[in-house]
Amino acid sequence: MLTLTRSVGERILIGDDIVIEVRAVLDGKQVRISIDAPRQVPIHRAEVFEAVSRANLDAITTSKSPDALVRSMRAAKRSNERPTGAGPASPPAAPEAPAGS
Amino acid sequence: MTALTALKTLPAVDLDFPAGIPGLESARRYRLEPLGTDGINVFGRLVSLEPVVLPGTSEVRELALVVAAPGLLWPEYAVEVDDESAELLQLDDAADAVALVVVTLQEDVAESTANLFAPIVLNPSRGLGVQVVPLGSEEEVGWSMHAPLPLPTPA
Repeated sequence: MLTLTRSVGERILIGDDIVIEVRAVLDGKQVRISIDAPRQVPIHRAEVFEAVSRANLDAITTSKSPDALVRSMRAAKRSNERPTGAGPASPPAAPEAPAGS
Repeated sequence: MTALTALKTLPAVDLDFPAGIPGLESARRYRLEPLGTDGINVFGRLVSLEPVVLPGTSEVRELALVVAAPGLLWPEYAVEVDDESAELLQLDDAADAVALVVVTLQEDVAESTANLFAPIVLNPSRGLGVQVVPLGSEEEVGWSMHAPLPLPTPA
């Protein structure tokens, strides 16, 4: 890994088309940088991207069978169709999907 | 660019994810299968069309994510599609985009959550998909990565 020391206003070039500039050092802890890169180069905050990756992996490892989910929706739909005794449905009760859409 | 999320039922469609899905980058081809019952196609499965080696393991398996159309569950939900994602989706008009959210199922369905922070956005007419990962944090974006599913409770 390459580690460089840069001052505010100095830049780093990566390849032909990526430019990173140190814009400001905010409080001795945070650095504001600007990145100029081609649109097809994805840029992410590492911790955010890693959290999304973990969430996706959790979703596949725990998604055993969606049957219970479908059963629950079906039961809710049936109970919503009953004319009386609807009660205060707190979360947005799924109305019937428009047919054919 | 804002993706319209009025979608309330899921289409059945084959999809290419040119950038992969974070954490699951080795799979690029998926099929969206609605889990339709009684006209409610809020939920579906996104199934990889090739077996995938799970990261950090030697386990090879078919990969499937449960997804939901957010339109009925979170009526106020809307997502920003950044220019890079719009380009990957070959999206000319935001109205062509369809957003899905990844559902993490739990043994107790009521404890299941959905990732509203990083939606999967599709361009169904081109058969393309991208998971949009915002640059900001959950607080800045205002949508949670682990939002409770507002499942209607049977009376």
